Amino acid sequence: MKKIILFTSSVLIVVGLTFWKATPHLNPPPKKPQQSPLAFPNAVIPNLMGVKNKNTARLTTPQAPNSTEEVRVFRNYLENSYIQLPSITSLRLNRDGDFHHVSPSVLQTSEVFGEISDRLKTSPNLIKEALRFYRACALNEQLVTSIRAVCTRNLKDWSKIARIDISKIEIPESIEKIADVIPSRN
Amino acid sequence: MGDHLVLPDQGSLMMKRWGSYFLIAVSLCSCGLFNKSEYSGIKFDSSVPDNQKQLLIGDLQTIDSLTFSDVTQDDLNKIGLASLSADSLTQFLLARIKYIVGEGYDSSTQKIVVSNNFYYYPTKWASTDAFFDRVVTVMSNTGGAVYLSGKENNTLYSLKVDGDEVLVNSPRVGVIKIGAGLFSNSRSKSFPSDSLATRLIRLGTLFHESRHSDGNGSNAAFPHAQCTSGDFSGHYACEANLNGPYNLEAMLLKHFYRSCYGCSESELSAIQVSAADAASRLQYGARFKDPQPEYVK
Repeated sequence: MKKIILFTSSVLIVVGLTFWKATPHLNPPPKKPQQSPLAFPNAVIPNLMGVKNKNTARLTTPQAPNSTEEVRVFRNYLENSYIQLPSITSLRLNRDGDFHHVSPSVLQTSEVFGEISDRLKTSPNLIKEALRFYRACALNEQLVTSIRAVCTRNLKDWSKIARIDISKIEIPESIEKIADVIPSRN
Repeated sequence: MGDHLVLPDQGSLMMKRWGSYFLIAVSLCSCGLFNKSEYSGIKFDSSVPDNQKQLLIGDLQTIDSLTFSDVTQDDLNKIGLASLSADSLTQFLLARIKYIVGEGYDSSTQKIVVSNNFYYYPTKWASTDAFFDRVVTVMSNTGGAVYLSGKENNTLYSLKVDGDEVLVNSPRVGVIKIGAGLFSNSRSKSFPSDSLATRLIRLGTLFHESRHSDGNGSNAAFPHAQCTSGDFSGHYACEANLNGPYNLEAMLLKHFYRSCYGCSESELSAIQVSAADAASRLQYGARFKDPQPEYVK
């Protein structure tokens, strides 16, 4: 009797293991290629990711070339900078109740804008990459309004310099209004 | 051979004399006797640290180097001037800033009650120019706040500033309080506090504060409006007036940007960011308000 029980349990274990291994859900999911945060205008900041892919108009330019090392490095810089842009939430958390004047963290973003402009002046072939950055920033509802306005200003200025049509990008009127009254490089 | 009395020659006498003058001057300077406590009529309270005072004087001198182009009628309406020039802007500031006090200045301990049960029947200044002849301190937060507090409590106050007793009978009383934040927050980490861009951003703040010296009735001191939505929702950090402090600051920064000769891209961007921050405070439906300051006798 003992032998029968031992035999039956062994068979059951072997059959169970076979089925368990064959179950598809245990297979590791295929790795998806990592996408640029710039592809999701509303999902910039990973820890805030209320990802909702808005049906926003695409940049009318073709995808920027990624063949050269310079473009790759620049794109990397833009993506890293993008996820560090100040959000409304961080602004509210870090201000210690002083909302009267511009926040230091917001003003510090001028370093990013300055760096991008410096690079574009010496390497105009990077403009399309920068425009993707400015478009994503301008459309991102989680970012501080003044930063979105400066991105919009830069989007307009650099697209004009590069003669690229951006008229299909649907920037909110409230952001455009601010962008229109701040100083322009043109 | 007797001893000869050797007289020093004229040249060495002169040298010694100038040397003495130099030493005296150095001693006086080190004692602070030559330190400016006033600039073009603006008095600095002893609570203002010397380095901040020097930076602010430099800021005010920067106005002379500004040039203006493409000034629109809308720009002029925002500031209420017939033209935009270095001279008109300097006059605008001097009419509204008379005393600058430091972070350590405590208005609650420097406030003197001049009259209790004082009834405010304010009238407006006959004209802006009339103000230039008066020894009235201009305000910023402190002067305007004390005036509004007095108006609310039916009490007339005066403030002790730099040895003077200043009657707070108008929002134009103008005692501007500055703190270290004005010098650290007006720049990015990569450029110094005496760079041209930083000076221009600080000037934007000074003009913002100077606008708080204007206004009458419910708009006395051009108070900020409560933000009903947006980044600062719930805070009194918005603008309901087209010619109020934020909108004035944004307009001027736009013009200052064009005078930022030799500035780096980061510095120019910092001016853009500051202008955008100020412009983003404007509320829907904002209107022009009468900037004439009120006063009580």
